[in-house]
Amino acid sequence: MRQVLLVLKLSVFLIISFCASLFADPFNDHSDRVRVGIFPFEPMNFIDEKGNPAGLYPDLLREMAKGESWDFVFVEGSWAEGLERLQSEDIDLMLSVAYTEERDEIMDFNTVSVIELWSQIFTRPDRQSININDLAGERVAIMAEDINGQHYIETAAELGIQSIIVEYPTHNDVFEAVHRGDVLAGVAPQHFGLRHVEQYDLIPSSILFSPFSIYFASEEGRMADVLRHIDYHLIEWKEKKNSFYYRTLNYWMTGKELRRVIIPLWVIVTMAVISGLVILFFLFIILLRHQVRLRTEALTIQERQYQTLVKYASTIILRLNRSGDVIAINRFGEDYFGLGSDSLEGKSPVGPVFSAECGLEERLSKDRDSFVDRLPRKEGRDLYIQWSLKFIRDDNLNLRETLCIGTDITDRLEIERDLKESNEQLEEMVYIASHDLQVPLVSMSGYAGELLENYGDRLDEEGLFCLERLQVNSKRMQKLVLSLLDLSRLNTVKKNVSEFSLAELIGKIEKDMAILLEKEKVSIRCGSLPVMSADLSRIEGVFRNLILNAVLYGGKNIDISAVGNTLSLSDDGIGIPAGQLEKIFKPGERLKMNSAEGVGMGLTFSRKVIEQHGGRIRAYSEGEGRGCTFTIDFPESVLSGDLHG
Amino acid sequence: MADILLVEDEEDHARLILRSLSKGPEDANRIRHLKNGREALDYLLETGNFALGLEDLPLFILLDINMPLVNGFEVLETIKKNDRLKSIPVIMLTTTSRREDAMKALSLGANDFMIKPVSFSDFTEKIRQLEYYWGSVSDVKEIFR
Repeated sequence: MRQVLLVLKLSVFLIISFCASLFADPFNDHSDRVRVGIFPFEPMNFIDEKGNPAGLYPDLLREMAKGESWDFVFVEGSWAEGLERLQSEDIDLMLSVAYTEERDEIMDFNTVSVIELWSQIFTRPDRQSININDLAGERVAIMAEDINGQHYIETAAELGIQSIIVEYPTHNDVFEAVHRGDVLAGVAPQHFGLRHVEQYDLIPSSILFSPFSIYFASEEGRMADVLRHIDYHLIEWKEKKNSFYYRTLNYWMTGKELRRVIIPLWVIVTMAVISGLVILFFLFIILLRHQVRLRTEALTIQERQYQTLVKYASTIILRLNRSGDVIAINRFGEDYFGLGSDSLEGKSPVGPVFSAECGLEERLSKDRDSFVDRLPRKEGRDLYIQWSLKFIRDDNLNLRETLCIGTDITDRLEIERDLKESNEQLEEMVYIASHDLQVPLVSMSGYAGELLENYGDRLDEEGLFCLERLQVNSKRMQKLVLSLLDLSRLNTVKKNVSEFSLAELIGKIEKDMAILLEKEKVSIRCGSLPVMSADLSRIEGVFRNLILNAVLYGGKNIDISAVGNTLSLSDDGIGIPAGQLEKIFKPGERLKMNSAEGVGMGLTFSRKVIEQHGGRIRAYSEGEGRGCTFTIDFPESVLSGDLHG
Repeated sequence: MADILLVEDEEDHARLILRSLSKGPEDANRIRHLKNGREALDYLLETGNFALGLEDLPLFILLDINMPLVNGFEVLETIKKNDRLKSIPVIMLTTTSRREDAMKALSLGANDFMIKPVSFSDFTEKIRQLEYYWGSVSDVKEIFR
C-alpha cells in the first residue's frame, strides 16, 4: 500500500516537475549552482573545526543533490546575515528556517518539515531548580532573529513575565554569555543545547516550550523546483524506517555513528579471505568426515570379512597375550582340539593345544618361529601340527600379542613317510631288477656269440641271420636296462657338484667315441665353452647322449657353442619333423623314421639331468633332412662365467 | 698249479669265460674256477691249495663284482691289502659299464676292467695290455698263443 502511495506521489511529482519545466527552468534563470546560506546552528548546520559545512542539513542536501541536475555551494554567515542575503538574492536557499506567517509573506518553504524542535532554557549548574518565574526581571540571552528567542519572549509575555532580553549573534555566544554570568539563562533549540551544555559547563533547565518545525526556505517564487526536489526526497526517506534521512538524523541528534560505515578495503579483503578460509575449512571438514565415513565403512567390512575368515578358516588360529595365555581361538581350532564348552580364554594353551615338549615359552621370546609340534593324544594316534608364530609388537617393540597359525600335518607326514618308503623300495627293486636282468642277458649274448664263432659254419644264411639278431637284440636290451637304471638313480642319488671345463669334457667324450666318430666320418667343432659347476658324470652323460643322438641320426658335422647362458649343439642330420620336437624327450620315444640304434632313453635322461641343474633343454629343427639343434639354458650359477675355449 | 683264477658265481658266465679262455691254453686245467667270493678268499688265504702253499701265485685273477655273500670289491680289497697277494694282477668283471663301479674298482687297486660277455679276443687284447705288468712271466705268451 505504502509503495503504491509512493509511486502515486512520485508520478504526481514527475508530472508537476515536467509541466513546470516546460515553463521555467530554474537553471536558465539562475546560475547552475544553488547558493545555500549556512550559519552556526549545530547540529542542523554549522562549520566544523576543519572549516567544512556540516550537520543534518548539509548531509541531506548532499545526498539529495546526487543524481540531480543541480548543484549547490554554501555561503557562510550568521543567521541574521543569511536572512538578509536571501532577501538581497545573494543566496538562493536558507537552511533551518522555522515557518512563520510573516516569513511566508516573503519566502517560499518546502512542504515537508526537516525536523521538529523544542526551545529550551539553559542555565548554570548552581541554578538547577530554576523555573520560568525565576526569570522575571533577569537577563536572558537569545540569538538575534532566532525563532526560539521569539518563542521565549511570546511565552513569557503570555505568562506575564518580563525578562531583560540580551541578543547575541549565535547560540554559542548565548551559551558563552550564560557561562560568564553576563546573563542568568540562555534560550536555544533543545538539540543544540544538549550537545553543548558540557562544553560551556551549563545544564538544561526544565523549561521547555514552543515546539516548531524547520524547513528549507528560498526567496519568494525563486526556487520552486529545488524545493519540490527537496520535498520529493524527504517524502521518500520519511516513508522508510532505515532511510538515509533517519540514519543521518540519528547521527546528528545522538552523535552515534549510524551512517553507512565506510569499511577500509583491507578490512573487506581480510574478511573475504577469512570467510573464504572458513568456508574452505568447513568444506574440508565435510569432505574429511565423508572420507572418514567411507574408510570406516570399508574397514568395518574388512573387519567383518577378517572375522568371518578367522572364524571359518580350516586352519587353527590362536591369539596369545604377552604372557602366553589365550586371548581367542577360532571355531576350527575349538573343534579340532575338541575344546567343546571349556573356554581356553585367559588360560595357558600348553596341554590342550601345544605339547609341553615344544617349549612354547622359549619360542615366544623369539621374533618369528615356525615349528612342528607333536601333540600326544590319549586315544588314537598323536597329532602333528605345523605352527607358524607371528609376533605383534607396539611402537616401542614391546610384545602385544602372538598370532599362532596351525595346520594339521599328521596325514601329510604319514603319506610322506609311506611315499619315501615306497620310493626306496622301488629304487631297490629297479636296481636289483636291472642287475638281475643283466645276468641272463649276458649269458644269452655270450652263447649266441659262441654259437656264431664255433658253429657258424654249420648254419645256413637264414640261421646265421637269426643268431645275429639274437645277439643284437640281447645287447639292445642290456642297454635299455642300463638306461633305466641310470634314470632311476637320478632321483635317488644326490648330485655331486664340481667345477670342470666343458671344453675338456667334450674333448674326453670325443676321444672315447673316436672309433664311432671315425667310422661315421663325423667331426665335432667347439666354440668358446664355459666352465661349469655341475655333476660331472651326469653332464658327461648328457653330452654323450646328445652327440650319440646326432651321430645316430645322420649328423656329420656337430657344432657345440655357448652364447650367454645358453649352450647349443647342432647337427646336419636328418632333422626332426615339427610335430615330434617335444615328443623326443619322452621315455622310450624314438623317431621311427630310420633304423638308428638307441633305446630312446638318452634324451629323457638328458632332460632330467638338465632340469635337476635348474636348466631347460629344447630341440629345434627346420624340418626333415635339415639337421637339428638342441639348446640348453642353464642358470648363471651353473655356468660360472669363465669362457675359455 | 693254476695260471688263471676265475671268481664268478654265475654258472653260465663262468662256462662262457672258460670256453673262451680254453681256446688258448693247451691245458684247461690250469684255469681254476671259484664259485664265489667266499671260496676265493678261502682258496687264497685259508684252506685252499694256494694258502697251504701247494700252488704258486696265479698269473692273474678274473674277479666278478656282483656276487652273493662276499662281493668282488671285498675280495679285491683283501687281495690288494695282502702283501703276498697284492702283486697279482686283478681284472674285474662286470655286467654294466657303470662309471662308478669302474672308478671304485680302480681305486681299490684293480688292474683292469672287463664288461661281460667276454670273448677270447677280448682276453688276448687285455693280456697284451697287461703284458708289461708281469713281463718276467715267460709263460704268458705261451698260454695265449
